Amino acid sequence: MTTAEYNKCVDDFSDSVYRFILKNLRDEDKAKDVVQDTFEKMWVKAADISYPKAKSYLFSAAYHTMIDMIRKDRRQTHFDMVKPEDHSHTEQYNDLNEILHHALNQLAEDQRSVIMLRDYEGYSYREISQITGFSESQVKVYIYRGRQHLKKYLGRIEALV
Amino acid sequence: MDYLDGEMSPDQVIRLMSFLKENPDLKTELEEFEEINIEPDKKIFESKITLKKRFVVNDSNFDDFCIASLEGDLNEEEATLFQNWLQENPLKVKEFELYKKARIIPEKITFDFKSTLKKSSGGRIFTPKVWGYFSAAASIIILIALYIFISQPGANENTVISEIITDTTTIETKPQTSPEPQTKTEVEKENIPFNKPGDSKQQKIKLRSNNIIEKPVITQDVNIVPDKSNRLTKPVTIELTLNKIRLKEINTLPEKSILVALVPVKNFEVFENTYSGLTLSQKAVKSFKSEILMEEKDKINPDVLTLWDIADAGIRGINKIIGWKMELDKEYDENGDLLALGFDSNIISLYHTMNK
Repeated sequence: MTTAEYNKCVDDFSDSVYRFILKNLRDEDKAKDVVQDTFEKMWVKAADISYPKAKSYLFSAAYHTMIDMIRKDRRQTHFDMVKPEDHSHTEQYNDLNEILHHALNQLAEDQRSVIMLRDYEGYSYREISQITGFSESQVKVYIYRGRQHLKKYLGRIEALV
Repeated sequence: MDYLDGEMSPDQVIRLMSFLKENPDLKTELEEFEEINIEPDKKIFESKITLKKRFVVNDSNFDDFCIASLEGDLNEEEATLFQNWLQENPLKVKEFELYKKARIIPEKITFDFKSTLKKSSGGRIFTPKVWGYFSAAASIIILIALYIFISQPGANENTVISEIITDTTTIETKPQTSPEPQTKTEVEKENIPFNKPGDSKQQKIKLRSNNIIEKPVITQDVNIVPDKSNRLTKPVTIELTLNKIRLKEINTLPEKSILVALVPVKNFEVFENTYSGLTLSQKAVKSFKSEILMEEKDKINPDVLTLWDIADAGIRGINKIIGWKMELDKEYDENGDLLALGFDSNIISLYHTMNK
């Protein structure tokens, strides 16, 4: 990959990688760090990565960096540091997308990641499998379970309305 | 039976036939067997279709069909079947609509720091984190390089590093019978021609060097006394400075002395003349630039020693060690201001842009 191609990757994919990570981590600073690290990793391996494979590499590297960060944070989070308001919803929903994103936040990490890769980026089961390291069957199961959860959540909200 | 089933070898068949010739009654019996031939009939199983699996949509797999439909996992036949089933079950249509709504629509989120990720076409830019690693590596390189240069000052075994004549002192080894405690003196290994005990004759001190200047070691116990009968009563150590030997009542060799001793000068008097009128630090800088960086002495600015110079020395050292041809480059803008520092080799090319 040439420098020009690398810079094109920055233009083309940094938004989507950032969005993917931000929606998972819900922390702008951490998301920025992950994006920085991810692009640095790609730059280091630029000679081995062709431009067509760059997007997949970026998402894969970002995903694994994010998982490492989540695990690290999980180890460092003590029970008394958990704020109940972070895990409850008190705001009013303005539109369907807002409801959906709240529902998305309630999904398990694996389900959320694969659904976002599917819906945001339109990746196939196989591509998601390559990015996340899950088997295709696992990806399919996570997507099915995630969709069922989202649908149930929407159904409950609609019933309330 | 084996013959009829074709299981016999040619030899066995030949032997069987000869046997049958001798026993015609058995041959007749075999021929009766040969007449029995069952032909397969052409009947078919007409209920094959009942055995085939068919896609059936029902309440239990409705969710699967909904999701598979949204994910594009259904083939044409299955999609048609599902659509037909939905038409027959209008109550399920609303549920399917919920599934349709459960697709996440991407938000317009942009990464506003793209410029920090981009690389210049000249080479690689290090983030502070990566630059930190590089700095650590560079430090090691510099140490190695200094070691290499210092250990090869161009001096052969007999090269005089410095020849120092003191105007006011003589050195005399302390008589073994002295009642005072003997002091360890840090001078040059093995080469100081101290007099034998009792010999107080004024003399020159010559410090000689082997190819490798080793850490100063304690070699002799001496007592240094001022000239003309001003004999010191206390043990002292020698402090080497750039231009003379002084007597001090201290027990350790100052760091400056070591630095001076490390300067690869073939003749100390020449060194003196070359760097006369300069401060110690200026002498050190000028010596470093001329001896290690091979700069022309007339053009050396002794007041400035940049990190660039140190890094350059490090790279030269590495080249010397491993035979690479690495270079450090500078890039300037139109105004002559430094834009970037670079490190170029056949293997890697690294650049660091300078903060404005």
